[in-house]
Amino acid sequence: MLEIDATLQIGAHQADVQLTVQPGEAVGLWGPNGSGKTTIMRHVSGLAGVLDGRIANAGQVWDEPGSRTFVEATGRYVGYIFQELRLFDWQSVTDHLQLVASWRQQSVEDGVPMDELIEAFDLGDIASQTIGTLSGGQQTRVGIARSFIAAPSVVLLDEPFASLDESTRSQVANQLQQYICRFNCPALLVSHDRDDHVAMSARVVNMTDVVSTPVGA
Amino acid sequence: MNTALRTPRVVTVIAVVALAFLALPALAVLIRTPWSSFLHTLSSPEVAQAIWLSLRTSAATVILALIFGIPTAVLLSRLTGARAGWSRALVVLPLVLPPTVAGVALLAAYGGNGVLTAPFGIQLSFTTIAVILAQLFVAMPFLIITVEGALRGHGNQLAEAAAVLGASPKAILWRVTLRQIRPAIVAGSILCWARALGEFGATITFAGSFPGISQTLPTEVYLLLQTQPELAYSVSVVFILVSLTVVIALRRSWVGAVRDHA
Repeated sequence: MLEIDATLQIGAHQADVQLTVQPGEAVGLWGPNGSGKTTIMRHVSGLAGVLDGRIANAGQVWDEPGSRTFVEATGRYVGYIFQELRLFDWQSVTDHLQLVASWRQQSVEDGVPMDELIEAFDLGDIASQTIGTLSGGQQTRVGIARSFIAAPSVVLLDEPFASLDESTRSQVANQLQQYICRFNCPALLVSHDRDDHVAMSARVVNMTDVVSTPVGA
Repeated sequence: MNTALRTPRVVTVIAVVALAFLALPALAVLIRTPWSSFLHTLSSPEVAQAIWLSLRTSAATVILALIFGIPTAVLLSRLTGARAGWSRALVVLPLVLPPTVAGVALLAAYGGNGVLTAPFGIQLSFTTIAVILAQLFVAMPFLIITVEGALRGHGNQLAEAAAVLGASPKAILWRVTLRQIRPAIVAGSILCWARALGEFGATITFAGSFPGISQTLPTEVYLLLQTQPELAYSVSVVFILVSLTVVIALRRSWVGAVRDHA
């Protein structure tokens, strides 16, 4: 279970965030730009630290300034699909997946085998191509595939379907749901498209119900 | 970039005059060069010795600049505030310093009576090492500035992604950050090498002009001009060709950098 009960810096101001996601559950964050959706993901992934309170997953505290606990991004095993994907354009698809596997080392045994990933996200035909030359949709599938090379502790999806067409979206969404179920990990989805939340069968929560102004601020 | 905007005639005329001013000296050298004895000149022992010394020392300078310049660029790109301003000023200083003054400064630091060398009784001035130090002093800033600019331009996006994917800080630096800025490293090395190869003022001040030890190609050109001007022209042709090659090579790596960035 992913538990967030913390004060975060969202843009120029501080905000209290309370959110719980069950293992295997996908929660869709709904709210306007600047409401802190991506900020929450950055804090869960370990790319940013909370000001106060704590973030914990599966009983392990990841971030708690009060007890000086902070697990770095490298140690959290979060599967983060960035909005900008952030692939290494100069590598081939296989080289990229292999590099990520080498970083994850032993935990790769618990992840999805490389062949299965290539099959599941339809990467067979483009496996030897340079990532920079691929289309937006193909790059998206590489970005998603690499997040499951090792067993993810949490899956973060930031506008993952933006460059996919209708039919590919439902296919990729199904695959994602399968993996979230298989690894029994909590998932967060950010999207401005209602259909994306439906495709992922996500429990949609309003940012106004998650974020509140800290007392005294 | 294509544009339908019309350029005022006066701008065109002034620009053409400026371009001619920039291009004419190189053309004039080609006209004045005694082509019949060109190859003969270049194979003369003194010139060959100077070419060999210049190639050796400038290559050493680039290697040292890569070893010391890249970490410096990484550090600079991560500094903020006043410390960033001061460090960058230090790096840029050798670029704006007159090269002869740079030579005097190097003498003061590492010469026979140098602040750093005198206590140990070391004498670096007027040696081949002094040639390399002089080149490094004036040329390394080009590499540092080019690489630092690229590091800042690319930002932390891929480094962050790598951290989330489990990469260690070392792996992030080697496999992501440095790989990402490879075109800038190439461009910076070429600039650094070109500057080192042409170094004259700091070299002659700090290292002197001893054949085989510190008489590099630019010094050779200067000395030849006083005694055998035709030879000076021939050697200058070599420099012009090298510079043209550098400009073309830089264009390529810039194009590569732009493509990588898009």
